[in-house]
Amino acid sequence: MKRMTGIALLIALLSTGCRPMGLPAISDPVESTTTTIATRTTTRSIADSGPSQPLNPAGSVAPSEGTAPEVAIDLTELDALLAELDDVLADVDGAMKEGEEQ
Amino acid sequence: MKTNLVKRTAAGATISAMLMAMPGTAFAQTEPVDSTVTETDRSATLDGLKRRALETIDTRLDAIDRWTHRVETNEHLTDDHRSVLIAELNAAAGGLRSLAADIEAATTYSELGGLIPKIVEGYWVFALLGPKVHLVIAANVMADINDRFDEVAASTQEAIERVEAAGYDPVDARAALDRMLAHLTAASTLIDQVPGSVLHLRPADMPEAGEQLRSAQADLKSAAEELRAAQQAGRQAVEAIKDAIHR
Repeated sequence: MKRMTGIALLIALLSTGCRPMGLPAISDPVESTTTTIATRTTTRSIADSGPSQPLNPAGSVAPSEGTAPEVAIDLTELDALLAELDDVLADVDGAMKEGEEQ
Repeated sequence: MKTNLVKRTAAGATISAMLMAMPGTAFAQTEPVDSTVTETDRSATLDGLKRRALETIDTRLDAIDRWTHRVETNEHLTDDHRSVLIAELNAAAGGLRSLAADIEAATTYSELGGLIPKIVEGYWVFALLGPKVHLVIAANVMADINDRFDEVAASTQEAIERVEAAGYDPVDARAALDRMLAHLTAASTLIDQVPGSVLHLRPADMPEAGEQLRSAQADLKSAAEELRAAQQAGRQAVEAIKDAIHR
């Protein structure tokens, strides 16, 4: 009987989030741990993508000569896309003209 | 109204020429009686008209074959647009082949006079189907180009955020990026409305539907201008990022 009461108490404690030392609570923030890891990963990937910057007292990164982040955006592909655009519009013009002539 | 009349006249010119070549009244319910034309001549004329009518149909079937191949192989078309266009092209090809068989079997001028106008007015292959196919393909190509521009804009956004995180203030870059995004939104709106505005058009809607086709064409040209402006703004954004870092 005593044993049964002990088990029931343990279940009740676990279900409310309280736990005896060494036992994980049912409502342990597993998801928030994942989020933290993900956030760290994201932060690291952004930070890793440029040279490291010294932090100023306010916590932001102070700009300094020679440590600027690299910016690499390739816009040349857009030229090719616009050339493709001209081709399809020329096709439309041709089809419309052909239709009017016929 | 005048424009429609002119276009209708132009579109039917080939058929009119064929009908006018018929001896006597083209649409007469009975065979034309012309004492100067012998039975042999009339038969030759009937055969000649049939041959010209069949050539006119072949020209359209060839075009439909070319367009079908384009629609089948174009990698930008959505599955929905592809299947709608293929169904219409197949239906037109089937209808024209059936019409060709009827013309082949015709034995009187009146029969032929009833069939020949259907080559144009039953399908409007060049005036409606061809423009539809090309407009829908172009809209799909442009939608993909717009998506690629969006990706470049996202990369630019990310670069701006990195520069900001490094303590710089790329205010001009942000403004240029905003302009780029506004142009892309305008282009997207124009492009997206084109397939819906032309895919439902049917031969029975002609020649009035020609106005909708021209309107869709104008939308795509405007969208192209928006994309060019987006490219310019994108270049300005990248330059402004560099300026913000190096000034």
